[in-house]
Amino acid sequence: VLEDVIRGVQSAGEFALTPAGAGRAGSWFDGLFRDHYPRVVAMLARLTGDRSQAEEIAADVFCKVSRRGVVADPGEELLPWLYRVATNAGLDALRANSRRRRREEEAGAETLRTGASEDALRSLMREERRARVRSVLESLKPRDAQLLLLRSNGSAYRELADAVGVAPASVGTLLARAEAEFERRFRARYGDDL
Amino acid sequence: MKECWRDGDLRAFLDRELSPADTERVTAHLAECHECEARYDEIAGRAGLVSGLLEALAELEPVAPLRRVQPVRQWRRWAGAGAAIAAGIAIAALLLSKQAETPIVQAPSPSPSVAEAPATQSPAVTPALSASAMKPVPAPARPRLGVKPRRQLPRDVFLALDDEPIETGIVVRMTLGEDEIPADVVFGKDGRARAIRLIGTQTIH
Repeated sequence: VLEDVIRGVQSAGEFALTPAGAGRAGSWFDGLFRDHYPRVVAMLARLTGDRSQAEEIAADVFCKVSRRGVVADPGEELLPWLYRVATNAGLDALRANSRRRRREEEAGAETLRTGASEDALRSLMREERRARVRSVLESLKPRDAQLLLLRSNGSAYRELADAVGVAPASVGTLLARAEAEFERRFRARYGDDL
Repeated sequence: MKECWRDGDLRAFLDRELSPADTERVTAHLAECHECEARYDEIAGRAGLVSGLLEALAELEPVAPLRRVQPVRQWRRWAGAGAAIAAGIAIAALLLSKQAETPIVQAPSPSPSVAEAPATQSPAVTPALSASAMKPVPAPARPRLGVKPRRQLPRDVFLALDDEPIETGIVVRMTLGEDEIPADVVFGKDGRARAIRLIGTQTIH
C-alpha cells in the first residue's frame, strides 16, 4: 500500500494548500507560528541551555514578526529574518548568561573540593563540555552557529536553506565550512581534548 | 572516469541529501577515487565530531512532543505564489463541491490539470476553502467494498510537502485545524510530515 502511496505522491510545486480559516486576518502568522515556533525554541534551548529562557526569547521574536506585519516583502525574506533575529537574541542571552555560568562553575568546584561523588564529578564534566561547546558557538558567525544548531536538531537541508535564505544546493557547502570552523576554534581553545 | 566532488556535495552525500542520481554517482566515484574518499572520510569524521559535541547540549532538553501536523508548510513559497494558491484553491473548491454532490460515486472524471490551471485566477475565491466550505466530507477511505482490491494507483493522491524523495514512512489519519478536516498524512522516519491528502478529494492528474 505504501508503495502505491509513494508512487501516487505529486509534487507540491504547483499546488498550494490553504489553512483552514485562511482569509481571516493574522492567519499567515498562525501558520508561521505553528511551523517554526517549536523549531526556533528547540534551537534556542540548545544554544542557551535553558528551555524557559528559549521560549521567552522565541515569543519575543515572534512578537516582533507579528508587529512587522508585512509578509510579501520581496526585499527581504521572512524566514531568514526570523531565524537570524532569533539566533542573535539567543547569542546575546548566552553572553549575558556567561557571568551567571561562571558563578555556577565556581560553586560546582566548591562541591567537588568538599568531597563529591562520582556522579557529581561526571555531571560537572558534562557541564564543562556544554559550556565549551556554547562558548565556541558564541564565537562563530551567527549564521554558522545557526546552521549547526538547526542541523543538530534534525532539520533537513531544505529547512536549513529556508531558515538561512540560501539555495538548498549550497547547504552542504555552508555546513561543511561551519563544521570546519567549529572544529578549528574548539581545538584552538581547548586543545585536542574533544 | 574522474569526476571529483566538492566538499559541500560530499557533506550532503553524508546526510543523504543528494538526489538519487547524484548519490549513485558519488558512490561510484568514491569507490575509485582515493583522493575524494579521503576527503569524504575527513568530512564525515568532522561532522560526527561536531554533531557529537552539539549533542551534549541536548541532554537536558525534554523531548518535544510530536505536534499535530498542519497542511501549512513552506510559508515562503506561498508568499510569492499568490496566483498558484488561488488556482489551487479554485481546484480544491471545485473538487469539494463535486464531492458534496456525489459523496460515494467516484467517477474517474478527468479533473483539470494543475499545470493548466488558470494562473490569473483572482484571489477573491480564497474564502471558498475556509470554514464552512471545508466542512466535513466524511467519505470512507475505501468505499468500493464490492470490488476486489487489485493493485492500482490510489484515487486520492498525496501531495508532497517538500522536494525530497520519500523512501519510507507511515500514513496517519488525522484531522487538521479547527475545522477538523480529515486527512491522511505520511510521516517520514524522522517524524516530519512528508505528504498529505485531504480525504474525500478526488484524483488530480
